[in-house]
Order: sequence, then structure tokens, then C-alpha cells
Amino acid sequence: MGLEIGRMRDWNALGNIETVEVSARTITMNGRISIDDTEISRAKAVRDQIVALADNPDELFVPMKWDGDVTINSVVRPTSATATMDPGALERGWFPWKITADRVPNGSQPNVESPLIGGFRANAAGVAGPPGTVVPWHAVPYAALDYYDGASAFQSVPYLLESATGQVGFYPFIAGVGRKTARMAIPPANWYDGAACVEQAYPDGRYYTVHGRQLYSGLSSSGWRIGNGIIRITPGTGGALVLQAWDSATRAWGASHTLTLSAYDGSSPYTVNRINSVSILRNSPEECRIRIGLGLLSTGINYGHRTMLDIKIRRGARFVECRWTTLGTAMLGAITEAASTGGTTFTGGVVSGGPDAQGNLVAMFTPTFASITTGPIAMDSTGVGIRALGWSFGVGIVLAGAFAVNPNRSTDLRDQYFAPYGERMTVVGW
Amino acid sequence: MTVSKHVMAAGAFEIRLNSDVLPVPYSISDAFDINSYAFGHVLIIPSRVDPADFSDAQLLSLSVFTGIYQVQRDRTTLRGMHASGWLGDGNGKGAIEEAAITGTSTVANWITALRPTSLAAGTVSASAATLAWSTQLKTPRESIDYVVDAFGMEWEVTDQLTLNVNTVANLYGSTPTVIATPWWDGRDNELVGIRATFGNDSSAEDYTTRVFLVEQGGAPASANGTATVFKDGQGNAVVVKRYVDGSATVTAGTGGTVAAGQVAQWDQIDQHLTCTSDTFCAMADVRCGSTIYAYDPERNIYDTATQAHYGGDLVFPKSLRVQGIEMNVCDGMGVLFRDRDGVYTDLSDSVAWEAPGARLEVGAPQATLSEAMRRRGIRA
Repeated sequence: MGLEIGRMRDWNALGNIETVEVSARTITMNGRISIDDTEISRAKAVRDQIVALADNPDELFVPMKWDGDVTINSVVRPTSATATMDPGALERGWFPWKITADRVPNGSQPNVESPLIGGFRANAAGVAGPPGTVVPWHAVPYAALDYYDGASAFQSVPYLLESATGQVGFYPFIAGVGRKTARMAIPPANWYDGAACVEQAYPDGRYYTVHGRQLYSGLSSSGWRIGNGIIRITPGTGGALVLQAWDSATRAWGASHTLTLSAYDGSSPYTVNRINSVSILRNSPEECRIRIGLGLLSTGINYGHRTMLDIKIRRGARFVECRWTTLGTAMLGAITEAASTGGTTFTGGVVSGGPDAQGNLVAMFTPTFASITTGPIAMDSTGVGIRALGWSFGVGIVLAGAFAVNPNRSTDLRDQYFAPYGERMTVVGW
Repeated sequence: MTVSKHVMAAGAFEIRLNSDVLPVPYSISDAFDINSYAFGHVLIIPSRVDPADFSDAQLLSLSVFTGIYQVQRDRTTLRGMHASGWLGDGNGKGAIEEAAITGTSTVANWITALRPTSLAAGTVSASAATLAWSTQLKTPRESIDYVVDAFGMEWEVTDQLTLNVNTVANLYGSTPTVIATPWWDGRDNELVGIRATFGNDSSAEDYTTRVFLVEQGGAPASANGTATVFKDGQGNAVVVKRYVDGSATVTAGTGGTVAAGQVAQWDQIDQHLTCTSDTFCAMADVRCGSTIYAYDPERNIYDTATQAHYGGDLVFPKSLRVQGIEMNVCDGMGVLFRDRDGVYTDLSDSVAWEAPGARLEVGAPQATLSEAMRRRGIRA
């Protein structure tokens, strides 16, 4: 009998369930991780996922699915999650585990509220709004029912976006800056469709989805990925970042686009040549944020000066939102997509000219003044008078490239980037 | 056992020394015997320091709270008020000016004339505007309160025992460097984050729809607030008028402007926030009187007109002034006593520490409905 709970989709790993105690309010499950004893890394990854179910402010509610009795499948609120490290566990990976959770009333198809705050990113690029150019948006699992975005007079049909983890419904709305409360019902089976997620690579080389904000000790600073099933960012070589889009036709990740970062403090140019650290700032299905420490190189010297890059991705986004910061000397920043040629500029951004193997293009945006060049596409805000301690930019994939239609064109992505929302989804029961 | 500061008011402190197992050595308590060392100073420093290694000026520059020692209890407890008490205490005592001070002077000249010798000159506005006034038999604080009001400024007594007078923006800066939020992600490169929980009290007790007054010479003046959205029990727009007595203070011909300024203060719901944090030393991160960001959307503490970058996100916090800070004195800090001769005694080894914590008063000062008002319909 297998169990799926939270982001753990490894049906077999939680297959050995010994007891399940159920009351009207709680459910308690005991078992042992059942994994081939040659897969100790996998067992430790699952253990780490289990124990992070509780005390996780980023995901108070998670879906639970047990094939032993499907009538109790629902969304639950984990209150305790433990694993025991006895000799059998450490040698063979058979960790005993115990999960206790509160049962959510109407949890088999819970209603959800998602307060959205924002709607416009102040900018010097000339992107107007609202109610001008920008397009605030909200994306939810396409299977969500009874949706209302909190702003529209009558709810339109969402755009359909394909992701590696399920279909996403994308709702644009133009209603100005403010706070809206979107409402919907989400079937537990579709809870993570198109969800934002962070993954970490265990010593076996496989990536496992992170629960909570705890990265395991010993994780390489380049052993992570952040994405939403539509696009993802992975560390490249030499401090670069690699941007990819999901190809729903081949059900595989598409062409790699290498992004390099550089800086200039007025006297010396620097390139980012390494990633020093990684940490998770937020890890929810609707939004994930990570922070990586970037190392600077100049004239053959690796400088230890602190510069941190925050990367945010929302469910349904086809771009990541980045904030690069430093201390002391204004110097940031520039970003280049190394291989692209013949790009086109537009207000607030640039898009590459030549399509990749999947026919997609790369687009970049920034709210600050920047020199924008097109071959290869790059944005550089390190010129005299505009160097800063913090620099924002977005990088995304234009799905279908020159043939893209709303809401996937490069200017659509720009309009969405300039209308950011912070979102915290919570179950309200009904 | 806390220390507190408030904008343009005297704060307070209480430092208790520990007598759990071993008694507090007399060699320490003798150094602050109130019969010899009343009006000495207590300095709170955000780390342990050996006072022998630093000059008096250096130690004062490190202080995040400097208090005036006034009460000794049971040999081992020190109490008093913040150094701003040198301008005069709440009971009207202080370095009262016995002779009249009269003139038409700039704010700098007024402050030079009114500043007590217990405080050194700090930074004072160079505004060329003048005030014609005369004062006598008032504490420096009472006189300076009037002067800074007249110039649209504030005063600040620093923990370095200096007196600053300027506009709020010039005293404290206008760009926040701190964000208080329960969604705490540590210190950013751009903003210092302090983990906080908020209490949110909103009050209509002082809500006003119209202000009228009588200016010098007896001419009436008035101003209406923004059109009200509130209604009384009969379905009428609420009418809450306020009378301001300006017959002695409002210059003839300026009553309309003064009334408009008054009604603008009161024609909206007054939101008062209390912010509780477990940060180690709030006074090191937050300057009392400065503006900070506060962000807790779940308690309606946000402002879509304000943007800030924090924790990898573009957030929409409220910009709020810190009206007061109350801070626990906790292990890791340094507590020094500075006697009348400028001799320092390190009390840190004997202090009964508390857990890290601080309470910030942010936003507008709250008008609370007192128990007396509930019972009798008048403010206590």
C-alpha cells in the first residue's frame, strides 16, 4: 500500500505502512521507508521530505493520497513528522517514520483563498501602468474549480499552459495596484500541477523536491534547481545560470540557454565565475524563492565580496524574477545570454532573434535604466550614474518564439513581469 | 527590566543586578551609590566592552541607550529616565529659565539660548526663518517644544548627550533601512529585517469632520476634512467638529491654514500598531523617530503605494515612524555606569538579563478610549 503526501510523489518509498489511526480530527500513520538497500541516498532524501512536512510555514496544508483506503484521501495539515535513525535505517535506508496530521473539513476538495498583493513594479524603463501596459496575473492548477480572481466582473476562461507536472490555468486581470483575494477549489490530486518547486541533488546524483527550507548538509552550491514545470533555472559551469523550457511535445526539457552575470564598480570589470552558496527563502506551490551567493572574478583574482542573487518563480510564470544585491560599492549588474544573436529591443527589455531547437526565444526585462544590446542579447546597468547596490531583472522563455500568441509573446511576458504579485495560498475549507 | 525611548519625550530604564547565588559585590554597587552618584549615566551597548580600553567619547558613541540615574532600590536596582530628561522631566522640573529670553531669532539661535548645559550642541537646522517670542519660567523642554512646533521641526536628545533639532526628514532620513515583518528572512543586503508580530488597533475616537478656531484678534476660521463615508444612526453623514483655541498662538490671517492642517490630522481612521520583536538589540538597528517598513498583509499592514525589495521579493510595506522603543536588556549586551566624574564601572557581569525582545510603537500616537471615558464620557 503506497502513500503520497505533500510533494513526495515516490509512491513506493512510503509503501510499507504499518498502522493508520484515524479519528474525526486527526490521522496518524506509521511505517518504514521501503527502498532497495542500495539506494541509501534516496532513502535519506525521502526521510528529509517526511520530517519537513511539519512546522513548515510555507506549506501548512498538503494533499494526502493513500491507496489503502481512498475514501480518506484529502488535504491535511501535518502537525508532527518524525523519522528514526536506527542502525537498520542508516545501513539500509529503512527509516521508521511517523506522520500525524489534522484532517481538514471538506479536505477532499478544499476551498482555497489566495491573497494577492501588488500589481505594478515601479520602473524607470517607461512601462506604464496600471491601468496601462502591465498585466497582473494569477495562475492556478487548470483543474481548479469555482475560480474567482477577486477583481473581474465575470471570470473569463483561463489560458491553458502545459507544464511538466500538469496543466496550469493562467488568468490575466487588469485592475490596478491593490490587494485581491482569489478563491477556488483545488482537487488534492492536482495540488501541485505546475507548482513552483526547488530541488536538490543527493549524492546519488538524482534530484529530489525539497519540502520546507532545509537543504541537506553537504549539498553542493550548484546542486539545486528551481522551476515550475514550465521553465527552470539550474547552475551552469563557471557561475553561469542555465534557463530551460519544458517541451510538452517531447515531454522533456528543451534547449539550454546560458546566462552570464557581470558587474563593474567604476574601475574594474568583474564576471561571476562561481556560486558560493544556496539557501531557500520561500518554498510554496504558488511561489518559490532562493538566494545564491555569487563570486566575482577580476584579472584572475577571485574576490570574496558579498553579492547575492535572489531568484523568484511563481506557478504559471514563464520567467524568473531576480534581484541582485551587494554591499558597499555600487556596481551591479549585467546579464548576457551568450549564444543568442540578432535580438530585438522593446520598452523595458529585449528578446533574442534566433529560435532555439524548440522554436523558443529568450527575453529579458529590467525596471531600471540599462544599456540593452541585441547580439548576443544583454542588459547592462553598470554605466556611470546608474550603478546600484541592488538591480532587478527578469529572464524568461517566449514559448513558440516568433509564432507566440497571447499571453506568451515577449511583450506579454514583459507586461506580466512588471505586474508582480506576492501570494500566500491558504485552505479555508469551504 | 527594560529601557525605553520615545519621540520628544523622556524614556525610562530599570537595570536589575543579579543576586541569585552570589550577592552583588559591594565593589560594584558602591560605584553607583545614589547618595554619591545620583544623576550619573547608565549606558547600554550592543556588545560587551572593557571601558578601560575606550575613551569617554568612544563609549558614548557606542551607546544605544543613555539614561539618567535617579532611583536606587535594594542596593541592586538602578532606575531613571532617558537622557532626554535633561531638558526637563514630566513633572515640570529641570533647568528652568528664570530670566526672560526674548527675541526674533532663527531656530539655531533659539536652541543655542534654550539648550541646557547638561547637553552638548548637536546638529541644528540652518533655516533662515525666524520666530518672535519670549519665554520665562519654563523648562527647556517646554520652551523647545514650542520653538520646534513653530518651525515645523522636532528635537532629539541623542545617547551621546547632544541635542539635535531639525525637520523629521533631516533628523532621521526619509528612506527606511529596516523592515519589520513576521515573514522574516534575515538581514538582506538592502534592508535589515527584524522578525516581528504586530498588534493593529484602529480608532475613530479622534475622528473629525471639521475644525474651527479663533485666531489672534478674535477672527474665526475653519476647514472641512475629506468628505466622510461614515453615517449616524439616522443615515446622516456623521458630524464630529473640533474646536481649537488659537486665540493666543495662531497669528492673525493664518487661521484657515492652521485649521486645514488640523483637520487633515484627524479626518481618517487612526491606525496604531504595536510591533513586538525578538531581535537581539532593536535600538542598534532602529533609531527611535526614524521611519521603518512594516509588512504583515494578514493583519492589513501593507501599502500598495510603497515598494521595497526584501527576501527576494518585491513587497508592499507601510512606511511608519517609530514613535517609541522599549527593549529588553539581554545577555551579550554591555551595561556601563558612568559616574559624576566620568569614571566607568562595568555592571555587565552582575546584570539579571532578560530574553531578547523589543516593542516598537509605530504609526501615529494612539488615542485610546480610557476606562474613565467609557464610564463618564470624558477623557481621564
